[in-house]
Amino acid sequence: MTTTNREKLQEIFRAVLELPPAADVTGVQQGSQHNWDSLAHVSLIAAIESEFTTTIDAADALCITSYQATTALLEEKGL
Amino acid sequence: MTFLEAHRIVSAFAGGEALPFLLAMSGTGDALQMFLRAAAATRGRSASVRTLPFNTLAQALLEPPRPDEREVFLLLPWDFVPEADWRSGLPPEPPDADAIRTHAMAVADRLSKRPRARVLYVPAAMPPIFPDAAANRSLAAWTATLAWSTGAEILAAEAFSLESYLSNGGPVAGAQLGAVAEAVVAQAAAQVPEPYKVLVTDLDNVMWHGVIGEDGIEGTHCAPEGIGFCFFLYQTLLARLRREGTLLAAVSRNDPDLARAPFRAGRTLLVEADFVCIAASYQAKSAQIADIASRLNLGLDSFVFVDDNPIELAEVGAQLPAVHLVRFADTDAGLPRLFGELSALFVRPAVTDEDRQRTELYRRRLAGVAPSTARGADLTAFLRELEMTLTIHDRSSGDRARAVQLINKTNQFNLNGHRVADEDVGAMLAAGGRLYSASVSDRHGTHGEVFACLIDAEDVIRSLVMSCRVFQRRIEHAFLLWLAAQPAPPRALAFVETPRNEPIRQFLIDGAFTSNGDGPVAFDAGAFLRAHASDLDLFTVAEPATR
Repeated sequence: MTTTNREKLQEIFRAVLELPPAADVTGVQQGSQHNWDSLAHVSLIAAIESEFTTTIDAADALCITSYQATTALLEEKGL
Repeated sequence: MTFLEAHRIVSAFAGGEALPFLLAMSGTGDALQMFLRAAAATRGRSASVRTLPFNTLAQALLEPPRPDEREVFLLLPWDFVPEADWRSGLPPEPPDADAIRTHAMAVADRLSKRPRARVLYVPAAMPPIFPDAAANRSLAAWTATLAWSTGAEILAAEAFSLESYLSNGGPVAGAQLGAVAEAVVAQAAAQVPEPYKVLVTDLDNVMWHGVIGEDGIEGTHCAPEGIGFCFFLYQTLLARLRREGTLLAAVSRNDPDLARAPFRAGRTLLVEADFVCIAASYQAKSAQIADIASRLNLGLDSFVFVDDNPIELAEVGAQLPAVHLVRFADTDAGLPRLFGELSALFVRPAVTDEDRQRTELYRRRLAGVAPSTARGADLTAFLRELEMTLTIHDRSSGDRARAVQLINKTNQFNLNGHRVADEDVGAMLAAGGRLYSASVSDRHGTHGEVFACLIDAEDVIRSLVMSCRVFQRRIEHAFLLWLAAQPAPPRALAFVETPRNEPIRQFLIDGAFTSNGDGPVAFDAGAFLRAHASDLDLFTVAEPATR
């Protein structure tokens, strides 16, 4: 995954989860992030699809449980 | 626009005029929210989006629209054909094709009856609900055509994502969120034009083939054959528009008797009585149209002018820029363009008895209209000769449809421009409010129910409206005189200035009304009675039965 794409993904996490601009999101996980609810999950997927012009199906969506897992998923997609 | 671009726009936006609207779609629109706010922000507007609960679009269509709420419907094929919803799976048996089409047309009909609704349609791939592939293709094409017939803007099929729809109920593809949001906000922010009211048509080579002044009556042709065919068809369209409530007028640079001759000779489909006015003189057509507008007391922005001559169109356009110009078809092949353009300008979602009688009502108004130079004593004498009767109806119980319609369609003599939902009126009445309307007749005939007044339980007038076709008759004075003499006269009026309610603002410039610049305008019933008592002499007032 390129540095640019990593930065974009981190910015998406901060925007969707309403975190401060300098917040480190690399350790963010769904279970420990209180505002990562179902609505935020949908927004996160839509944001990633929009930003990276990709599609995330139901199976992929289940894999998005943390920043690291998301990075892995996008790398699988060649991003 | 990508998500991060949208986020940056929204973050940097300091706020602007609110853009409230309903985004109606059967799936979830959560993913669109950021993009909608960004698309509105680029227009300097703050989006305030109401959405429907998941999969309740069909129910929402059965409810009346909220007053003044702009609605944007983002539709998919299964909003017309529920059997084709991917989330429902294929039906176990092939569905009844006729029943499917009947249901879909009912949906389209409900959409067409929502005057403030805008429709976007995504022609997404449909599941094969019929065993026959051709039948499935036919249904998809037919559904898209049906959507198009509602005036829908057709978006790219790629705007739909089956992955997203199955995953989280959001039908819009992630990569298309920006484009779809842009289309939605463009529709939400677009001005909803008021429907035009008057179609002014040229006569020679528009109503008939030929030039009456040169070819004589025998040289004019309007018949379902030969060289008069397209003119006959044009008149069939005008006849339909007239039936639906459009006022027809004609202008011609001709001798008046000559201009009317083809009508009187029975060489036309329409007759003189179909027109509210046939103006013929050697004045410029702009002057003739301005005179018609003045006599009908209608704004020029409610006029459409049809002529075959580009010079005449240019002259009217230069002198009366508010008038919408339409060029008549040069050839028969131009008829579809002409008919489509005119039909779109005079859309009426529902035709009421009032619409059907409008031409006759305005013809009576013209018969009773004061000469434009009449003022003061002359005007009073003229009005007295009209022998007017003001019949007041208490609509606080029973049928109030016309009174509510008047409140919701009147612009000029309108206290505040507020539109009201029938159920809100019902609630106000149940709480002790009052609703009155008034009909007017004179020696020329009846003008129908032309006045409405809604008063809340605190004796504040919330709505006060009068049809523009009975302006300058002092009906508003007579009604308020009657109201002021009632046991509980109103104490104030909830006036709000709008871009179009100058007539009522002028009416309120009176010693009986006091405004402190904020809040309702106070009403001194005693002062009004003392100042205007003589206006009641112009009317025979028929009072309502007791409630």
